[in-house]
Amino acid sequence: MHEADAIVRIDNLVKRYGSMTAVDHLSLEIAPGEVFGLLGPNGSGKTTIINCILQLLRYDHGEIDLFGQPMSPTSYELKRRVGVVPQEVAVFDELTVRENIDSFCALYVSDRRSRRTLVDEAIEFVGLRKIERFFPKRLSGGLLRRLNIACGIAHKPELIILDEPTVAVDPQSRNAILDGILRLNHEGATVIYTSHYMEEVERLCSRIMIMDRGREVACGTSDELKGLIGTGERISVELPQTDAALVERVAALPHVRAAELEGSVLHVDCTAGAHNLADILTVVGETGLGYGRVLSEPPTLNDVFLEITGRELRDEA
Amino acid sequence: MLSSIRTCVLSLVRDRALLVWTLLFPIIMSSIFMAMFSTLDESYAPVTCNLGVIEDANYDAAQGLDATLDAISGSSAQERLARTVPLDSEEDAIAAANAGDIDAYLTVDAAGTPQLHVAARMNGRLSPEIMRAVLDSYLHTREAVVTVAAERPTLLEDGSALAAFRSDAVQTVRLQATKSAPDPSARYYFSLLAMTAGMGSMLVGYAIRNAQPKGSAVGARRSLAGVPRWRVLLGTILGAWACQFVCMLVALTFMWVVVGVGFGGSPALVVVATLVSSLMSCAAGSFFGGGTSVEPGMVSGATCLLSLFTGLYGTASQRLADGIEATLPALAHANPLWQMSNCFYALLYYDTLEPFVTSCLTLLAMAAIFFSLAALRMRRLSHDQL
Repeated sequence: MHEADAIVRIDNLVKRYGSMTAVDHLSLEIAPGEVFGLLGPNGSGKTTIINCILQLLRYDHGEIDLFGQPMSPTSYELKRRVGVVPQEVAVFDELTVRENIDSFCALYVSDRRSRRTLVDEAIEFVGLRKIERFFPKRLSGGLLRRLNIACGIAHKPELIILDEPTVAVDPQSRNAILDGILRLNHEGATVIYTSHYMEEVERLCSRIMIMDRGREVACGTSDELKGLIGTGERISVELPQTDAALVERVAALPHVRAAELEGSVLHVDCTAGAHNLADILTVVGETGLGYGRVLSEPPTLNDVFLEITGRELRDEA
Repeated sequence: MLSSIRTCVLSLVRDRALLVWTLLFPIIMSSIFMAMFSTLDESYAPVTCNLGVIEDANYDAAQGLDATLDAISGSSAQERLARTVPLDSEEDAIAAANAGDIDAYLTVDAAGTPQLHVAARMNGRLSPEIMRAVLDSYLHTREAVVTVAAERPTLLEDGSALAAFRSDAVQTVRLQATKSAPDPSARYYFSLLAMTAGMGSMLVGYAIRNAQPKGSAVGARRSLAGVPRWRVLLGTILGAWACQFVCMLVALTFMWVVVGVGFGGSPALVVVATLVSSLMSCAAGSFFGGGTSVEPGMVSGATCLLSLFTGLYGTASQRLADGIEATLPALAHANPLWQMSNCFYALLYYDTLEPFVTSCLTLLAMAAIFFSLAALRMRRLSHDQL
């Protein structure tokens, strides 16, 4: 990607809070139309990066360009092209759904007539038409999150930054929110999505940066990231009784990286291979013990994070 | 900016705290004051003395005395200072005084000099003192007439000099040192208006916090706007000022129309006083809301404390306020609530606009200082962390 084409370009960003380094020499580029995921445990520096991009924070070192231009606290032209959905629901309790969206949209669009159309579209987009005259106190957590999103996207920004928008949201609302984000992307918006939910990031993002302690751990598509680690497949076999010799035989198979018994379940980590499951079941069958449920899973981003950092994604940083 | 004004006005007028502290509070307090002060005017009625008069031969011989007493007790008297009770003897008078029927009684000695005898229970009270002054005046005038008759009798021939003496002899004159009639309760209402403005600054602070990156989640979000932050802040301040002004105006109208409080003869200047007071309140609120170290409870506490020095809490607090103003005027004048209260006070009582203008200018200067400090605090937070 040519530098000038990037919607967001961060070069060697460093942000320190006293002796603690929140972002440590981080660089990234986001191309137009991407859904870029920032994935990392709490405290890994995701929100700090967002705040630096938005110039809410001064940073110690580095450069940030948006739409090919340097970003500064007074770059209002650039800010008009950005929409932000903060982690915390940030709406006026005293304004109705419609008034809230209009109020935040007015921070970017001064013309009332255009704004009315934009607000209507945003209400329609998040499905709050029937409750547009309600005050936020009457809304459920999921509906509040939708309102929060509508306030950030009503002015039709080219770059949308969503900072953990599904925290504390029920599964149904979460699906609606994720579908909405994909629709925004299909309509042409570039999206930066931060989360510590790997499933969401995997589902939404065309490219993912895994972060830990303010540093980039890995960056690429979901498949590229999974390809970085040795595990290609994780197979679990439920056994009627445990057999230490069986574990040794399975571990000796080609493509098997590790095998262990957890209760009555045999867990086997394999490298990528075409016949891993068949090979393992053959060995198990040869013992004459039989087997119960069998599960074969591809590696997750958590496996990637675990293998690279030695910690779980949802551990505290 | 118009949108920021609209957002601020909408969010404040729907805020129950605003309605309670800047609208309901002054109206409820005014109603309570109205009930409390309904009997206050009675204490400002002229003091009347029940005066026993022993109408013996000496009394009849005392020239002009009967006319003097008639002037202060008759139905035609401007201020009825005495209610005379004719008595036959001093014994009757003593009995009436002991019975509480009269406060004092008058005897005239052989030389024609009136003597005032005050009942023991009335010693040191105001009404006998007034009678004493009346009799002193009578004696002084009588001596003057006698002197003129002896030395320049021609002056008395045409009667004009005598009429002049009579006119000066005994009379009560209502002197009004102020533009409007004194209203003992007005000070309470003006202090209440000032307190309302003080409480309003709490709400302005809330509105400002919603425009500050570190003030609230909404403030952080608004600071990402595609318009300069000063426009959002200015719109918020103007909206909050408008709300505060309207609330004060409603409270003031209630006091004027329902309670009957006088505000002087110029409604336009009363509006100016309200505008300036609400602006000052807005400036203070901007300062408090510009940071995160001042809690709303601290603002209301400070308002209650400063109201003490405007005389809101009764005669003791008024004496304290007056004492501070007399001994440490700079300290009294540094109290913005005192200046607000004084704006209305000056309009009601002073003939000249000078005290009103001085208070207004002082409030404007204070507002400028608070706005400058607020700007410094807000600037410092501009790009600080969320």
